Amino acid sequence: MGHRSYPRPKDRAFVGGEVRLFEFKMSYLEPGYHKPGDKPFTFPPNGVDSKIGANLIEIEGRNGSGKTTLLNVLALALGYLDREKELDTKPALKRKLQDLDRNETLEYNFRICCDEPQPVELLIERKKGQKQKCCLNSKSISPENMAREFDVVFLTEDDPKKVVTASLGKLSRYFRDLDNGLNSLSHTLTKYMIEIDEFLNFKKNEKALLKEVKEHKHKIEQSNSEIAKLKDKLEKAELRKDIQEKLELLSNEGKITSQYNSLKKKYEQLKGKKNTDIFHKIYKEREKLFQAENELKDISARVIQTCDSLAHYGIILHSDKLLRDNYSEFNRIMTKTHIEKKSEMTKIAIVDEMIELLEHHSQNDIVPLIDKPVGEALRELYRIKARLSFDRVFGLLGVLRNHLDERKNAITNRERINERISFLSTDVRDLKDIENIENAFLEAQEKYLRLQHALQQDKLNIASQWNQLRSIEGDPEVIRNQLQTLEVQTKTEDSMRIKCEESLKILRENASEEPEYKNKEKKLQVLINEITRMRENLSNWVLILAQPTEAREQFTAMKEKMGFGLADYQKFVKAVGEFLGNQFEPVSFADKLHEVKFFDIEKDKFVTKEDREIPIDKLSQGQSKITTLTGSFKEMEEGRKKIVLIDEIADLDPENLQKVKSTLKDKFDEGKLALAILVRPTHDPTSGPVNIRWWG
Amino acid sequence: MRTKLYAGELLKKLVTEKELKILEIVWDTEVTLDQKIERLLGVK
Repeated sequence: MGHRSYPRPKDRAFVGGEVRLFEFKMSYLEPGYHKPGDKPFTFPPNGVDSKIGANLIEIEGRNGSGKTTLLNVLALALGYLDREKELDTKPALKRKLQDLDRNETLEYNFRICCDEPQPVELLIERKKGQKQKCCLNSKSISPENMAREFDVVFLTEDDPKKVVTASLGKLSRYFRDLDNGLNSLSHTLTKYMIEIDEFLNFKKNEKALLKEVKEHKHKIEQSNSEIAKLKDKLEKAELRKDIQEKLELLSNEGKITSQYNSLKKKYEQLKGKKNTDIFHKIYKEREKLFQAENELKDISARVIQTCDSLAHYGIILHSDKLLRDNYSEFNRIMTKTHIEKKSEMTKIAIVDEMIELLEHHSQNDIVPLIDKPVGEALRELYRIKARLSFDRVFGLLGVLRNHLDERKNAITNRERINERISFLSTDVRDLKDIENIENAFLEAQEKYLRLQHALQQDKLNIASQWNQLRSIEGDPEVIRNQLQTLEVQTKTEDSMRIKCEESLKILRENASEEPEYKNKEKKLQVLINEITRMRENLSNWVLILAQPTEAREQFTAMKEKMGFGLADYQKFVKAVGEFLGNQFEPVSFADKLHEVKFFDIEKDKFVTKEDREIPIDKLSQGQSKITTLTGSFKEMEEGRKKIVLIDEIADLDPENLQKVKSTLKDKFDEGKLALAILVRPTHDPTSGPVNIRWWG
Repeated sequence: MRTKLYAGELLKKLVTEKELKILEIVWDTEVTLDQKIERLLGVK
């Protein structure tokens, strides 16, 4: 193997800076894995140098040390995501690269220097949340130009179809590029043909255009005359409508004014109110209602208790009747009692009135007539009252009367609360309706203002105008629409006239100079026909490469029709098969090397020079990596350096690994390779996380 | 930069000699469109 560790081998030439070098730094946070404050994933790990003075490198590392991620990030930096065809067969890798590309925390810095055939320095840098920047030999370079200079070969895992898919994808891209070139050429040639045709047919075209301009002008004149008529008609119809409206307003003056005033009042009542205020008030009133109901229940209970007490004295009063506001029994008993206890009742009434009067004064005020302080007089009056109420039945009836009075008051209070709740609920309904009320008010207001305006005018004058205009027909809205349509038509006619005049101008200008290829019209036409035929072929070739079986079925079904057919399909598949077959080194199968002469794109089979068929998925594991690598160098374009990234070289047996390394070394010495990184896992627990060394 | 037709050998089997010349001219990135037309008109 002969690999040595960094620093750069001393036997290398070192002129004017780094000659052979790979410098690498990358870090990112994995969404969902890293938590705030965690350190990001980095490569190389701490303690491992981030550069090596060589271009043929092997990285050995423990699982999870980031060696594969380094290859992924490097592939991303080198534009591997644009290799759609190859990535289509590797959806997991495509997802990984897309995730890395979208990761705002990803940053990297790669520097590749090599010296064959001349010194090259490629710098690729991406900072967090920014686009990457590339420099080639200290000059900024776009990703497209970088792709023209460097070709990435990224072998991640053994995929028997990879080499074919990559080659077919490349061919498809190439055919499409050719088609683009032919398309722009055909476009220009067609333009020249049009110019020649215009020049040769100048008089005829000029006459046609002049006729067209004249027609447009005539139509515009007609439209303008109609527009003038319609405008006059519209003016009169609008005036008629205005007078008619005014007359209607005046005849409905009373209704409009009252409607306006009523809506104004309602609107002004509601406009300051808010739902929340009203709901709060309703809530408060409901609390009061609850209290009033409780108070009423208390009073009713007291009425029942007092009636029960009276029953002990043989006075039968049905409390349920009293509670249904039937006072007949009670009034009868009270009348009887009044007669019997007339003088006591008068005294009690006087005492009650005096108590009520004196309670309004201070305890120390002197009561005239008796010349005693209020407090003393009140105590005396309470004693008299107690003495007068000594008769229990009389007292109970007095209490009952008080309870009934209290009950009447409580009922009145409850009714008031209910009224307030009902009023507030109406407000809530109105508030829900406020938008409608507002709109109705604004409408009424507008009508009212128009009425005021009409009222200011001379009614006789309005009536006289109406007499003049009443016979005019037509709705202004309909006339206005007709007018608009006509105006749009006129504008369209006018812009068409301008276009014709411009075309005429250009036609005349072009006719003043003879077209460049006037005398080669036939040749141009032949060329256009040839290009068209080639473009048709290219389009069918791309179709065949994408879906060979479906394409064959389609061409078989077409039978003997014009254009690209089954024979063309067969010719193309044969040529492509030979082209692809020529790209492969001899393949190892059944313990024997076979030289390939053909690859069947429809059946995915190699055909050997001995006419043996080998399906591509029967190739041995390591073999397809070698096949891919050698194939990719074989089809290499001039001027494009390769960057080869190979993951899991442990898949290769020692013999195949040696072949890979020899191929890479040869290509590097030929100046066709800028960098090769081979990655393998380590199972040695005593080694560090990553070991980076050069070989070759 | 002037580059050779990538799959020239393949194209030779698929197109006529004249068409191949046309494609070579189209593929040439060193000349303008008008220069290409001039050359194409000269192709026989």
